Amino acid sequence: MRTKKTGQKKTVFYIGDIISVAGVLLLSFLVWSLFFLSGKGDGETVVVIEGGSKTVSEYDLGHDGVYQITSSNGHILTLEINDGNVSVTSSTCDNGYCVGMGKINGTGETIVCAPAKIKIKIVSDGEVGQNDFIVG
Amino acid sequence: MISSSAKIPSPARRIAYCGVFAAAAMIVSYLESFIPVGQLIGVPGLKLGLANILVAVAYFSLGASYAASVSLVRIVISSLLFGSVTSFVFSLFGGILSFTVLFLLGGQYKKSIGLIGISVLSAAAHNTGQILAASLVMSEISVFIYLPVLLIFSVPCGGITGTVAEITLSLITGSRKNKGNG
Repeated sequence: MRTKKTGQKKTVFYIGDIISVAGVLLLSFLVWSLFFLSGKGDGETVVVIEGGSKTVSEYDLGHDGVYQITSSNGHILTLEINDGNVSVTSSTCDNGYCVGMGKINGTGETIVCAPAKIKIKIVSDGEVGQNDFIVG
Repeated sequence: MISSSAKIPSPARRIAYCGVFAAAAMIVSYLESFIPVGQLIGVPGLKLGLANILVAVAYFSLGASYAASVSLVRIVISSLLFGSVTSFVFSLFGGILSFTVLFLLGGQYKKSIGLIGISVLSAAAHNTGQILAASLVMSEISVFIYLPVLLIFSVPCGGITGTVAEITLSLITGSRKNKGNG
């Protein structure tokens, strides 16, 4: 289906283009909602660092501080807890997704550094030690 | 797709074009590493995916198998030269998923969907593939938290690559028509 024409016979947009854009944005919203909803919880929260599937260390979200985390494969991440917000301020990994994630502060929210195989997750006190993260 | 492919006479010429596309795809992906899109908008690691332009152009000017080899050659050689085993796995997953989208929607090109739509979906598939690779590498499903933001950015990125691919393709097919058998 042609929706717009320029010049003689060149078509710029097709109906499929609009559906594609809308579909991708909708999917983005759905994935985000799944994480947001699954992250709802009450109670005190702590930050857990996991290398692979095991808990490496835990920090109290209520205490501000700057911590160095060294991963099993040698990457060094700087973790900052400030006023209930958790962020990775620097990392020696090459893509820097973890730094780009900015600050997290809600239960269930995570910062992941794939190259270092480290996950930083805010969990409620009752959940400490559980590694399950159910999505959908 | 078939009619434009038929205008290139010999398989040898197609393979030669294939090599040119693969080389161009590598140069483009090397050059885009100098464009810090990710840092500018706060999503480090985000790339425009300019190499997909070459894969899409190869698909519609040479054929599916040639485009697949352009994509594979680029991923393998780029990883060998500039990357690591991890980046190879990431690229491969992204490449396979984005090519699957191209393959599935290729038949609908210029019927119900344009290269912009195909590229947006390709970029979304590419990002999903990379996140999938990350979740497998880490055995951790929570990396999917990155997916929503990557999906949103696949719209402008796919839009840019799709537009450039459309222009490139029209220039190639246009010049081929002018030269008769090209």
